[in-house]
Amino acid sequence: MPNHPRDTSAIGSHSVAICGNPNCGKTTVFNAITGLHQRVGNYPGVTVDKTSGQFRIDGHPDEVYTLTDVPGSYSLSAFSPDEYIATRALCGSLADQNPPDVIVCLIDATNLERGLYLLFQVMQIGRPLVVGLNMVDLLQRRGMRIDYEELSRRLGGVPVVPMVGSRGKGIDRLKREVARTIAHPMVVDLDLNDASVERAVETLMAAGRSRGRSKAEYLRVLFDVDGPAEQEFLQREGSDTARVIKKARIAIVEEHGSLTAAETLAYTRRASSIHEAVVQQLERPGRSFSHEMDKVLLHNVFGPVILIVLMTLMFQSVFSWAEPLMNLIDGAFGSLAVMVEGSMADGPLRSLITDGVIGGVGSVLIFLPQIMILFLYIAVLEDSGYMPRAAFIVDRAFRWCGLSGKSFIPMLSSFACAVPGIMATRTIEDRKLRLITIMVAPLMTCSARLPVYTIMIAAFIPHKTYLGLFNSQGLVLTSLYLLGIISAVIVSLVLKKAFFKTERGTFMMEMPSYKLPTLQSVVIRVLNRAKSFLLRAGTVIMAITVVVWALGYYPRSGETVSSFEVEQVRVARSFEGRMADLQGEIAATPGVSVRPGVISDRLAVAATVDELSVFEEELFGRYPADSALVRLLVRQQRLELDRQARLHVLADREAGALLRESYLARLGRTLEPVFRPLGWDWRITMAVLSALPAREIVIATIGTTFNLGGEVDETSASLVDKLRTATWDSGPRLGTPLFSPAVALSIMIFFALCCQCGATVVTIRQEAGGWSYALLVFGYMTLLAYLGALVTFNLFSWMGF
Amino acid sequence: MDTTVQTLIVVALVVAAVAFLVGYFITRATQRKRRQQQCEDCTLHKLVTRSDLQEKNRQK
Repeated sequence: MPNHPRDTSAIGSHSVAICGNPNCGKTTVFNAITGLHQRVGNYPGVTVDKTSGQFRIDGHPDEVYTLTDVPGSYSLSAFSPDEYIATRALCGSLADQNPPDVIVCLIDATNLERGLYLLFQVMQIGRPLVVGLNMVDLLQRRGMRIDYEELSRRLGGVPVVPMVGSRGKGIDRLKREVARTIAHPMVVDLDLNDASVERAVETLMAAGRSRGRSKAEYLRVLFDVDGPAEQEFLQREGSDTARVIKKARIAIVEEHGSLTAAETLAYTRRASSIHEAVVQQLERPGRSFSHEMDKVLLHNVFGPVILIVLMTLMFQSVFSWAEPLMNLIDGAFGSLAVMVEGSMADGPLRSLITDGVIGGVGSVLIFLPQIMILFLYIAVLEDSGYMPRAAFIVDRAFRWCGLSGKSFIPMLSSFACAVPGIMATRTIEDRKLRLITIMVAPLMTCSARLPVYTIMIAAFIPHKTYLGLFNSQGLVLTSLYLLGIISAVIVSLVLKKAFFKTERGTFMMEMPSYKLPTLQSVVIRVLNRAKSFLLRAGTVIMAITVVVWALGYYPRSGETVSSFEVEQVRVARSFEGRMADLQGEIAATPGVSVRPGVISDRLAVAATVDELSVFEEELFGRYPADSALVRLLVRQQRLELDRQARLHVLADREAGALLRESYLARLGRTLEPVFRPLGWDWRITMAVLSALPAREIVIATIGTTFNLGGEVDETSASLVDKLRTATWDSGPRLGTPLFSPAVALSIMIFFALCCQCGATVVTIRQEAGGWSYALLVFGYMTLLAYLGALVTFNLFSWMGF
Repeated sequence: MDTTVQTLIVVALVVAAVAFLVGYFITRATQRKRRQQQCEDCTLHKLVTRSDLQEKNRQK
């Protein structure tokens, strides 16, 4: 057991890496140790890049430990890019990283043998080790027990810490063992009991010039063909040792047929013998809960049905649960706008605050409850362990079109956001399959599309209930999600047939046990999503809104403003004479049973002529002796309402005229002919185009544009109402309604199929390895979106919608 | 607050918004570039683009 001298320069700062099989709870333990909130999921492939966090240990106040969470891996013989990152991170071969002082190898106690396989490979890296044996509670529930001391002894004295990471049990002990191992580092040798392998190692050891290298490290060099361990060895020992390595490998291949077979056989035998020695079956295991659940949830018929029902219910509740909260936020922003209008003089700043910030950013923030509910569902489904089952069900459909179940997790992540979804394709070994998945992942309905869908559906899809459970609005939303999936399937099929002819690969994915999601994990996920949504709304969307407002408000032609001022004065004067006459008559008619002020106050509440008629009847009944006075006061109030209405119409006309002369309108009108076949005017065109960097911006732009244009009748306040009453402001359709169900559907289809996300395009370039793929995705999706919207608009218009 | 003061404030806000957006997109691009350079050093991208990762394992 050779001891490694401690590097004194590292005192005070230590690096620790945590590794393990996929879904063994690494990220949960990482979060528990560092107090960070990395994303956790009850399915493999959540971590596809290394992540770091710092922590301290009680009793070591001057020491800072940096913990690196590396992607889950079944072996260090990298097959997929994420496994390669894991290997490089553990060997300290990444650009910004030294070899870790300690490696924590986390093993799922219910899958000890498989965990040991990876552990043996990690031991070969030659760094001090601590083993965390996670999920021991599940093991106990299955009637099993592990002799931890015996396990540690058989691993050559490596500390073994039993843990339940999700409840924080064993975390402190793990930290203490990490500190102890750093203080007294030791590297364990691995005895594989295989004659040919032992002989090959001895050959290598004889050639090795560096001192202090363990037998396990030589083993890693032997099996790591062209990998980081071999490269590091050749660098240190000189390239002439390559010949010795080759000779040693040939000896093993002669005995076992291949290096992989020798490695696998040796580790499997060793893992099996340790498993037999340390695991005791105390009770005969019954059918587990997960097994019984899977009989239903993975059933050939019930499985897909349950998946579709779950998805439908999810989207139904996104609408129905969020509505009261959305109304509350909408009301709050409405009151805020009224308050600002009441407390500020008319001018550009007031317009910027009410039409721009409140009308634009406020319109986006209304969707916060929906985003939170959607992510609540996703967090619960992920943490419960249902997601890999969904992948299994979808695998059959995906295989047919050239994808595999392994593409499901990236696709699923893309429902939240395409960027992590595209990054998650690193778990796919086959490059062609990976490229197909990257190219179709942006078609999945990400959360940024949700506000656009919601507002269009709320405004133009009538609310009807079917079977007392499903409503039409929820069904349209489900259909839009299905459209994303179906179009991804079709595009994959085309890509597979035309460009990327893939062979049918095997889909292997671990089915984790069902778990009750922890409240903390779910709350953290939902709050993180809400935080990033609010941050985005408060920064980029706010800034773009200000710019869009300025483009829609200026240049503000003095001629137009003056002509409307003249018109306003004319309208006001036309009422002055009649008002003065009426006031004279009222002054000459004293009240008999009531003061005129009481009647005036009552009538002032009336906002419409109809309301005024109702009050008139009521006042006649209440004050019959003053019917003449009531009549005069009603005439005065009617005149006032008429004056206000005329001025309001004038103000709307002025706002519309100024907007039509604005820079935004000039640009929009230039582009309008391209989008007119989709049923869009320049305002919709500009809103959609302004959303090219990020989809959510469309709502802010619509909110700002329709506020600036004065497209609102006096009783409507919400954006939905504004859209319903909006009309064409020019051209042959002047004055006719702008939005119809056909137009709304064409906008939704365009958003469903278009790649309006700068971050996604850049991520595709990074992950696929070139701008050509990024531009290809952007191009085909834009074309698909345009054609989809064109067909939808014309089809539904022809059907009379 | 008269129209002139409001106009001055609005101009300042619009300039600030444009400056923020320019800064935001430049920072994002710089961060992406730095991250990409780090990644390229670990040869992940080269491996993915050359598709030799699987080939290497097949040979093994």
